[in-house]
Amino acid sequence: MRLELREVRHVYAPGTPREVEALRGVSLGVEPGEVLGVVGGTGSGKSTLAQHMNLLLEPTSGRVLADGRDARAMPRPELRRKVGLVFQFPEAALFAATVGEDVAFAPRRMGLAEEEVRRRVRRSLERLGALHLAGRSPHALSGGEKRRVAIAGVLAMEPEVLVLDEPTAGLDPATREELLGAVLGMRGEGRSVVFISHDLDEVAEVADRVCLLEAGRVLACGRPEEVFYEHPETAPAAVRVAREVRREHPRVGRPVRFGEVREALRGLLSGG
Amino acid sequence: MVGANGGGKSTLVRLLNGLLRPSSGRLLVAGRDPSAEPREVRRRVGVLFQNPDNGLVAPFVEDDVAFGLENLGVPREEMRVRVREALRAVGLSGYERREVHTLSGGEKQRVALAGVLAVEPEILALDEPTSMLDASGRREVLERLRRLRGSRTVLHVTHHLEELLGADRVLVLGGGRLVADLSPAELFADGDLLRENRLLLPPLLRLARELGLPLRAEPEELAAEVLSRVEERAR
Repeated sequence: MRLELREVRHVYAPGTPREVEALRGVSLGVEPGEVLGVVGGTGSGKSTLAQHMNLLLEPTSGRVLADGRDARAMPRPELRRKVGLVFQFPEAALFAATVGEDVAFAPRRMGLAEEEVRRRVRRSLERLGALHLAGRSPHALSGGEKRRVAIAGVLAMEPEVLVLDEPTAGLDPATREELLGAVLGMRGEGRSVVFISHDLDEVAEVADRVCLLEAGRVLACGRPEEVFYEHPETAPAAVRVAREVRREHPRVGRPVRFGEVREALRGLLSGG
Repeated sequence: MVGANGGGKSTLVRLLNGLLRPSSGRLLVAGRDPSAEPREVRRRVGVLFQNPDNGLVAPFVEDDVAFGLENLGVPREEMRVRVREALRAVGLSGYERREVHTLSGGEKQRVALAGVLAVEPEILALDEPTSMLDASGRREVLERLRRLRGSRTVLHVTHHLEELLGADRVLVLGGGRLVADLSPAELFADGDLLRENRLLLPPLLRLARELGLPLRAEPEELAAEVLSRVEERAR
C-alpha cells in the first residue's frame, strides 16, 4: 500500500490559550516495500505524524491518502489493520494472562480462524525472537522482552504499513540489533515500515529514505546520504566523521551505514 | 550501571527507594533500610523511572516539577526559582504553564528529570534519563549531571556506553548479578566482558577501535585523528 500525506496540519487544543501547532503542512509519501526513517528533535512532530498515518489523529487540514484514496473514506478497522501503529513504550498496553494470548488478541478480533490466529502468533513472536516467551505472563518479563511482545501484537495483524514510534528506546544494544533485523525482514516481505527514531545511528542502518522534521515541517526528505550529508547536525556520528574527512579527501564518498564508513576510512588510511 | 535488558537494573533502582523489598539480603541507603523507612530514604534518593508517564503527577509542568519541593516544604519564592532553574537545565525554559499531557515523550522525560534536579537529593537514581532525548537534549542533560559531581551521588542507568565516559565507576549487571565493578576505560578495553553482557561500544568508539585509533568523544576529534594519520602516511 502507498501511503501519502498532503499538506497535513495538526493543531492541538485549537482556539484555546494552550493551542499548539504540531504539524505545519507536512507532505510525504511512504512507498510499498521501503523503510522510511523519520528523524527530528524532541517535539518536532514525529509522534503526531505517526498518529496521522492510521488516522488515530485527524488532520486539522490536509489529507491522508491510502493508495490514492482519502483514508477518511475507509472504514477505520480496515485502515488500522492495514496500517499498524506501535506507540512509544507500547508494553504499557500488555494485558493478557500470557504472551501468546496477548499477541492473539488483535488477529482474533479480526475474526480469523483459530488456526490462522495461532499461525500468526507464532510467526510474529518468532520474527521478534520472542517465541520462547509465549507461555509466560507479560508482566513478569523484562522491559526489552515486553517491547518485543508488544510489537509482535501489532505485527500479528500483518499490516501493509508498520509505523514504529521510537521502537528501540530503552532496549539494550543486542536487543536493538535484533529488532533492526526484524524491521529489515518485514521490508523483505514487501511491507513498508515507517521507522521513527531519535537514534540516528540506527536510522542510518535500516532506512531506504529519510525525512527530517523540524518544528512541525519537513526540512528534508530523500536518500540517507543526501539528508545526512546536507544536515550534519542530524547525522549519525560515523557520518559526521566521514563528512569532516571528505572535505580534504573527496574520494571517501558519502558512506552512510557504519560498515560503509569504516571501510571508506580504512581504505583511505591504508592508502588504497 | 549497564547491562542487558532483564539484567536487573530497573529492579535494583526500585529496591533503592523501597518500591520493592529484597526477597533476602539487606539493602541500605545512607544506613537506612528503604523498605522499613521509605519516607526517610525517599527524601535522600530522587528516582527517575524509565517510562516518563509513570512518574508525572500534576496537570501543569511547573506543578509537576515543584511536586518534590512541596513535599519538602520549600518556601514558595525559592520553589519558583528552583523550578525555573531545573527547567532551564533540561532545555524546557518557558514550558512552566504547558499541560503535561500535550508534551512529546522526550519532553515528558525532561520534565520528570527536572523534578529530580529541582530537589537535588543526595542521591539521584536515574533509569535511562536520556533514552528519549535527541542528541542536543542528551548533551544538555549529561552536562547538568556532570556539574553534580563531587556534591551528589548519581546512579545513571544507560544503554548508551558513550555516556559512561564521564563516570567514576561502572557497574555491570547481568542475569541478576553484579558482574563487574570497574572504570569506563577498563570496560571499553574488555572485549569479552562487553560481549558476554550483550554490550556494544557506541558507534564512535567502535569506529575508532576498528580503525586502530585512540577513542574520542566527538566526531570532529576522531576525524582530526584520521586526517593526521593520512597526512603522516603521505610524508
